[in-house]
Amino acid sequence: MENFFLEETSKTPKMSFDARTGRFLMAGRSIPENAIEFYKPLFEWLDEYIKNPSPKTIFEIKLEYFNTSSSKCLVEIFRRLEKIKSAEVVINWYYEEDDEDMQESGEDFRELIDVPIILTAIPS
Amino acid sequence: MIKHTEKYQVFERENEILQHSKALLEKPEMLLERSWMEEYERLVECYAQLLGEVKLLTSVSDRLQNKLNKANENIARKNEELTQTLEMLKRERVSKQATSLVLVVAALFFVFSEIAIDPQLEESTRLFGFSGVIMLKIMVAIALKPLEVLLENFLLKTAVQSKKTLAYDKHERN
Repeated sequence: MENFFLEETSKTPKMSFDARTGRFLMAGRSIPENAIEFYKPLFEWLDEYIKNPSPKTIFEIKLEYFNTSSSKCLVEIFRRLEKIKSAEVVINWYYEEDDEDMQESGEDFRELIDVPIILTAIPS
Repeated sequence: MIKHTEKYQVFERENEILQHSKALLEKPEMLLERSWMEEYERLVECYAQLLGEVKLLTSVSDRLQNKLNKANENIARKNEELTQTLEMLKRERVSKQATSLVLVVAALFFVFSEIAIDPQLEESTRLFGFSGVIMLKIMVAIALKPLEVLLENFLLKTAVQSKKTLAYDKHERN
């Protein structure tokens, strides 16, 4: 299975999903004009990945800003990761220490999603 | 511009569940009684998920709105600061212009006084004495300050007027 990689732009995050190692990264801003169009290829990639996941999947999220549509797409991504039952999945949610909004968003996702989400503050 | 239908494709899964449930209600004979229970359980489960997501989206949306409000307040404050700085710069420039003009007037006045008034003052020296003439010259020099203020105010008014005219012309052109 091929890896999924997208460069960061001013409106979309960097995305690096390595199927072999199970190391996933999403970093930057997520304010695409059409979130579903932007995230659909990733949904399709994840649908394939969850059929044969890596023994351990570590998803690192370092988002500085995302719009409402993107938050729904994040839910869709996490819902797919919830389906992985035969392997370990961890989501690391990073936020700048003075960014309460991103911290609270991480807490909201943690309440909703049935996958461990570890919140980590990074110096701003 | 994103079409309404495209934008709400983010709710594709929820839409599918709704269409499926509607289809079952329209043709109830499609299901046995036991299956109804299973369908209902599935619907409740999906509803609970949806409710959780709605809460999360509302929360995210509120936070974004707060961020936007803060950014707008910040822009308004910076704009006010910028306007004040520009106003100060304009006043400073006009003040310099006024000072230069007054200096020119003073120089001209000096030349004029040397040529035309001094001979008259020499006459006056005999009447008021030397210190009297010096006092007269100091009074003339002091009188230049109100002239500078008057000139500054006039130039400021002219600058404001020309700014208004420019803004009006721009507005008319648009």
